[in-house]
Amino acid sequence: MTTDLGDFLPKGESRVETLMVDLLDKGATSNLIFVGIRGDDTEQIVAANKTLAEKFSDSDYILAVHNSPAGLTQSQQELIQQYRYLLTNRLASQTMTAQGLTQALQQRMQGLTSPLASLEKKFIRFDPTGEVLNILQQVSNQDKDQSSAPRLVDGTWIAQSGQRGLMVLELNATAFDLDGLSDAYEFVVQEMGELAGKYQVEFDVTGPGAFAVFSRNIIRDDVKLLSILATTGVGLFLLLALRSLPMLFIVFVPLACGILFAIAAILLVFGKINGITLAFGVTLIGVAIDYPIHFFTHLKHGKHDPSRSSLKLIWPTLRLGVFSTVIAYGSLLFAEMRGLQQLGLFTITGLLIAAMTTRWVLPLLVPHQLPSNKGLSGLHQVLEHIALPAYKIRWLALAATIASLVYLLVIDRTIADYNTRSLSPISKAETALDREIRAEMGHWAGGNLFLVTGESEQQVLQHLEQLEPYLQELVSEQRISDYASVASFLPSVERQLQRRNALPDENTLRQNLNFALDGFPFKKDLFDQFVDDVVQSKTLEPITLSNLEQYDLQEKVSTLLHQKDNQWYAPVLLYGVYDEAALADNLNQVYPDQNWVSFISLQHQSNNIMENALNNMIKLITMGGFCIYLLLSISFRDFIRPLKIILPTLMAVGLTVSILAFSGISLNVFHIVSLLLVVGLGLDYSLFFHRLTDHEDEWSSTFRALWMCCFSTVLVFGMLIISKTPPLHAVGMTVAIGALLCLTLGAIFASRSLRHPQET
Amino acid sequence: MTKIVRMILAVAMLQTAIAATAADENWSLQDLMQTMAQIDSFKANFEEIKDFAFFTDAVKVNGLLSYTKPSYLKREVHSPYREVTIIEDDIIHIERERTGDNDNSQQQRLSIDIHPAVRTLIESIRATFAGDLKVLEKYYKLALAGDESAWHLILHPQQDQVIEYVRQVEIFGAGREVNKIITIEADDSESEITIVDIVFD
Repeated sequence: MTTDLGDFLPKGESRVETLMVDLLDKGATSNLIFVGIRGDDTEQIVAANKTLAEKFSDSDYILAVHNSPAGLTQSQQELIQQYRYLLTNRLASQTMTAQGLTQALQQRMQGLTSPLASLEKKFIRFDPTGEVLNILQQVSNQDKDQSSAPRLVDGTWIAQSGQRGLMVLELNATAFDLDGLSDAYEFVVQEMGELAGKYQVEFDVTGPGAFAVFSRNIIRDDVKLLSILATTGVGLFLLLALRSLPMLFIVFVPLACGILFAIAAILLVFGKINGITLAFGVTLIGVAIDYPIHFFTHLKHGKHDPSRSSLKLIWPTLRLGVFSTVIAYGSLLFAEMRGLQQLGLFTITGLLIAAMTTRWVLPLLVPHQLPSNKGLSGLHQVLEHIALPAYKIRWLALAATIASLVYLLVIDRTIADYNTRSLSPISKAETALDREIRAEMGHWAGGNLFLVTGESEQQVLQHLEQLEPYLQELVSEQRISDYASVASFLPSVERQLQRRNALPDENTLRQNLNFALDGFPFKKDLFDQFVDDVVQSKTLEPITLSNLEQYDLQEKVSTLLHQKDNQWYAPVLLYGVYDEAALADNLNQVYPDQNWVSFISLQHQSNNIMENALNNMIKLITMGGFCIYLLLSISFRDFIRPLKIILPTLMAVGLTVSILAFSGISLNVFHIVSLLLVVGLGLDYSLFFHRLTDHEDEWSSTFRALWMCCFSTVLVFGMLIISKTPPLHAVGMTVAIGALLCLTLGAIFASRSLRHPQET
Repeated sequence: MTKIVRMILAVAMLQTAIAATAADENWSLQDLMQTMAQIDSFKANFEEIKDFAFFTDAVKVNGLLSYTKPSYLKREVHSPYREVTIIEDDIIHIERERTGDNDNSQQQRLSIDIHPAVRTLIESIRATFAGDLKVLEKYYKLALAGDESAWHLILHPQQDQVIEYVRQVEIFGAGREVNKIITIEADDSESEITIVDIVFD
């Protein structure tokens, strides 16, 4: 079972959108944890950081601890040293002329007489032009925003504010192994607890790894608690209403069968089931409890073979209700989100199986000695008293619905929420802390990027090189604070050859060097190794992505350069974008007709994807509605009657949306899915109310069935309102309100045609 | 030649120092640090002579040095090139005068921890000015000779990574005035900083 919310994120259509979803997915399922160590005293922070790092590096739960810049491995340093004259961003035709070398030696002299002398001494013999340091600077800039990168105190990271020590942990579990992540997380928290007493510091834990564990725990606890609460709640209610324990069990039989078959269907088609699909699906097909309730309340006493005959009476209506609901849920099958497709399959299978069980299995189970089903008769009388004259306010209800919808349109408030973050159970405070710590670490927080594309590795690298001067200009104009591009440490083959061909031959180099050395106190043979290295470099073959594999550099590079479906993508990560819109305009002005570079704002982009997906779903639901109308028209052989059945349902949906909007709730994908359930419930109620037109004598039993159905639904979904998982909370609100409205409106629009025995 | 002069000078000062120690046994590291801690800020002229093992001749650099309590150090080189280095807390900021058309790294901002030897060497000077015994003892083994009127502080680095580069630092002073700092590196490279015309604020 998975609990990945990513299943409920739409798959974007365009290649850019696909990439974005990939990036988002990656972020959501990583095994990284960020640790913040807060305190007033820097020394305490540093000491706690070091002790913690030591404990963690000894542990099997943790793969790697980073609390200072990761040094390059030996082989990586050798790579850079060996290929320095191909990888550098400077041309030897400038740096290795007599004049260029004079300048370089001048700089070395300055370095040697500065506080950085120790560094200079390390490189002076073989690298007087300073290419290694130059490349190291390019490489180390890659994953950090230099303007906000943490400083080092005593070898550990401290945020620039000085109040927080920083550490990144790689947990020893894959992103999909939630149990492993959870164990590792628990270990981390426990170790911190032990340290908290020793040092005057407090710990913060965030990052995708921690969030995966938080979400899982919240969703799992919610699902556990809610299913217990809902089952006992509904069980007690039905026990009161049915007054029979065996009957209570029988009521749950169709639902249980439905769930079982639905899970089997999902496993067959998708291979695994998302926890949210399961929780959500079970609640959606909870409507299947209605079927046996209708059946039981229509059972007549004392007649021969009671179960079959009474079932036959209501079966056509029930069947119509099931088919309408199936059509409504069926629109989920065409949704773009995998989670919703699962949900569609789950609910359709579940409902059909539950209905079939009710029709063909339940009659065999019903005992011959039927209990009286007059439980909660006081409540029944009160409700009946209210329902019967309710038709008097039908025009008022219609006017109120129209007025509220018109008002919503007039004030034109955005009632839809496309932000994918609002689907996550992680609290706003926690995401804010995560952003804060990422910013302090100089990590790219997933904001903005230039997406550069090409048909080959080399083409995309050349495009990046073309973009480079523009990027530098953006930094100097302070439109961005920094950027990370793969081009700064992997030049195109063309550029590497350019660099290589610019290298002087040995004689020329010695001549230039001798000329440059004049006036400097360096001994003559000091730069022999430098000359040898340059001569060696003239025979080197350029480096490509595939070469990097043997140096463990591929992973570092892969986020910044990768291939998908014959296209090469290189995101240039932008830090500290001053004005997104202005930057997008500027890019379009500077590169007006280029289709290989585009500005992307991740948040904007994911909102767009969500907006499209939601609009698409609304289209599907509208089509579903039309199909339901056709189905009803055909079965009634009438085009007007279906409208009468559909009207209260439509009104219930409209009023639910209005109520949610007026209480300041923005609608997300889960609200919209819940409205489908409201449609299903509404149609079901309407059909049974409508059936009374021809079966007035059944008013009492029908109405009893309907309020029982409605109340058990409200009970189940009312429980969901306490859920901390936003999707479940959203569903709870929507369905509880919607179900009550469906019953009320159904009663209002049905009761005029009733000539109740008591009235006549 | 300079080396011999310097050695004679050092021996002479050492002798005075030893003599002075005999004279005043109560003059201790704590006393020196207390005296130094009273400095708020100062400006002075400096001359630095660097003689690396791979140099044919020693190089002379001079300019202005200023310090402000507790962690601000500014080194302005006036000759033979112009360069300003500011060390504030844990950041080194270097600004160089353009030496040619093709030179693009005129300003550099670095962490003091870019290399262990860098921090250790900076603290030998800065922490002495600040009278911060705790910091000095964190990076060095200390030995003090002389008295208040002529003291001689010898610092031996403790970290292996630093010992690879630096053998020892010697600081000569009188009262709260530091007159000379001699650094001897592992490969016998030497640097000698002479500080004169000190003006306290």
